[in-house]
Amino acid sequence: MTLLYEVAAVGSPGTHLLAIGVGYYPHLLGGDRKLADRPLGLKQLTSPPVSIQALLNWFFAPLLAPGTIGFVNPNAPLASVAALTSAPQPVAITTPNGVVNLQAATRQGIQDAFDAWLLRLKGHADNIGVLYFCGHGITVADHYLLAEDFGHNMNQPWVNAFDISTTIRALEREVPGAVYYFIDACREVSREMAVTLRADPNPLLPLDFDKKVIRRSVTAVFATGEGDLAYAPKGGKVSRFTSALICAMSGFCGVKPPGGTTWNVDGESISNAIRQLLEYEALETPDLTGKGKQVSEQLVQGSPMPLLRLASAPKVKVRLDLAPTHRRADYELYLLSAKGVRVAQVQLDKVFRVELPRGFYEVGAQAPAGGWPPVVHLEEELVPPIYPLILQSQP
Amino acid sequence: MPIVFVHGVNNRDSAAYRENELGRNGLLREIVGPALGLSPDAPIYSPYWGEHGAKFAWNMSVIPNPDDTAETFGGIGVDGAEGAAIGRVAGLMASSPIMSGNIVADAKQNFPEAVDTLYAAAIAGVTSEQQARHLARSYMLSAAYAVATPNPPWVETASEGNFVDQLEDAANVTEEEAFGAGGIIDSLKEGMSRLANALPGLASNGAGRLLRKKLNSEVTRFAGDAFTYLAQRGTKQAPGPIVATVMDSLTKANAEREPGDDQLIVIAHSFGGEIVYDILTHFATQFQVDCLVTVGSQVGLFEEMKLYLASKAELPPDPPQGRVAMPTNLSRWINVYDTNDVLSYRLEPVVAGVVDFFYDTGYSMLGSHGGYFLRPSFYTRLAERLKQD
Repeated sequence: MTLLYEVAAVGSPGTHLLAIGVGYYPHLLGGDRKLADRPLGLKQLTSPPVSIQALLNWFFAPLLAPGTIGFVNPNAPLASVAALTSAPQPVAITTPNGVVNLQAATRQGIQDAFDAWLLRLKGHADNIGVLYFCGHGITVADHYLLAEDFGHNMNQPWVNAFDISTTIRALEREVPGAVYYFIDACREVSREMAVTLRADPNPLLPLDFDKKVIRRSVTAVFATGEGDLAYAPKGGKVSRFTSALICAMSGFCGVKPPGGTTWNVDGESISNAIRQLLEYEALETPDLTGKGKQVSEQLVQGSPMPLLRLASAPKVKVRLDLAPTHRRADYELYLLSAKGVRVAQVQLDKVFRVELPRGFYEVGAQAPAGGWPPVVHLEEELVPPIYPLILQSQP
Repeated sequence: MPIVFVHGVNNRDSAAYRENELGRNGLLREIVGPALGLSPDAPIYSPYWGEHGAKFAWNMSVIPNPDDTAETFGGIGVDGAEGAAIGRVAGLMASSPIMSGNIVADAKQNFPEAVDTLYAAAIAGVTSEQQARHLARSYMLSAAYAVATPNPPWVETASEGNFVDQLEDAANVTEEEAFGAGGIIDSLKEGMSRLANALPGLASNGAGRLLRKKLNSEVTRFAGDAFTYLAQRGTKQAPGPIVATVMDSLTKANAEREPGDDQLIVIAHSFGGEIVYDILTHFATQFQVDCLVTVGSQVGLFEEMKLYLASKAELPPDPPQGRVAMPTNLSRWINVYDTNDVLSYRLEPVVAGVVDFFYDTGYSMLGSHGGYFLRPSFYTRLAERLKQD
């Protein structure tokens, strides 16, 4: 099944999610069907089915267990969720309507799901659309995303993919509200495709220049920059980008408008948070074999239409360290909020990690046994999503 | 630990020369460097002395070249970077016993050889040392796979379109999952494209023309550079320009020695060997070189003819049994030769303490003379030899 959840909300805006995860590519390297003549060096992926599961679980969480962290937007509540995924084994999702097996993400399946999603999305001028993709991607003139059956036809080797760049431009002329794109795919330039005339895959929607741009807001966050790779830990784990996306949406970004009552997560705040969280992950795992830093790329246009409206202030991931490291065990690392709340790590030879509400803090290190001078930063602003600092013990 | 690479004859500053240097440095760092305990970013000096070599007033117009009479409307110019890369690959393939330009057919005949040639063709066109190092690291994995699996079953059903993809998939192991291929595929496919375009049978294309031109010009320039060097090498007090250029790099490399990392390695190709020998025995006897590798060189031949400034007609007194002593400022000397390379010579019969190392490029005549540093397997075998005492 593709449509996992839908509520009849005639006359009021809602949020409509279309999520696609492709890990099983039968015609690419390691697949169980005839190998494509031009597989572009692409292999089977274990992360996308797991990543899409994590994302869907996050969206459904408050509906399944009220009060848990997940999608919240009183102005545009979750109105529909459609999803497709390709994996060697069926992928089951727990929805408010029960457990559902996801349909395969073939090119035709994606097209059908997209067409239906677009119809729902156009149903109200204030609707918000979310299009998530996790799987293989390549770049030539535009950014192309690969469906499960990519490489099926020997004479049309690249037909079962779609052009997301043009799709985004086309949707700007169709959807009056806001659309958020989260594209967790590589953007490596394919020489083979580049030297083949008219090899470009089609968009999901043709770009009609006779139509004017009507969208109020568009946010496209790509897992990586043009020409670069996106990564996931091996062994069927959530990808770096999707981890950062879910983390960002789970209370690590958002701004409160003047006089407002909620902390709003709009395109700019979520884009910034994802980029910083990816950098934070690189900081926490310096021996990542992907080496090349994965830096997300963003397109944010139009006036803000928040994806989420949160009731509480966003948090900050604090990472305090002390240099030189051999003095760490002699120190107490601490943060003291403007409200007088103090948190500390006492004389432990490790990095101090803690999550705190945003705000102003005194950040410092003291050596209770003496011997070393204190290190104090009096007015540090902790801004979501991260605050990494290495305190320098002198001399 | 610095390395000094002294090129041989027939090198003139051009896109081709610079690409060669990028590829060679990448392979030296990734494959030979670890065998020498070389740090990844250790300096490699490559003194360029070609500008002081022979000059031909009529630009070698005396060389017969019937193709020059024909005008080509389009195509890859033989003097451009890609034309030069294809030309180098054509040189490698010129007399190869197995290479047909069809990588799948060649792999069925001799998989390790096909892998080596594929990477050589890819490295022939690198545009950065980083790209060369990336290819070199990938090559080491692929070469190890080819040795362990000389007849992989997937080759039987592979196509030219997916051969490289399957090779990389089988040989390379990553610890992270990437939602893409990682760039190496495109480099190798460019190499495949060069193999196809460099087929010597395609006599009318740029590669074929370049190869014929190269055969003639290489002999001519070898003689020209050698004559020029011998006539202008100068004296200890006033070294000639070629000697001065190479000595300058040796001086800089010598200054890079550090406690605990104080080895000085010199690699000399072809006539570069004669230049280095002249320097170490006459011009700058103060240099202490820990290892000299001469490749496709004629050092022994020139000593037989007593053409060095330090040569003495009476030494040794009892040839062919006797030997000239190894220079005292040289700790180790490996001489690489290929019997197919008519410009490479043995050295063991002439200089005491030298170890001759036979490397079979699989090619013949002049194709093999320039081929050593293009083939990644050369670096692998050199590294193995350097690890031995």
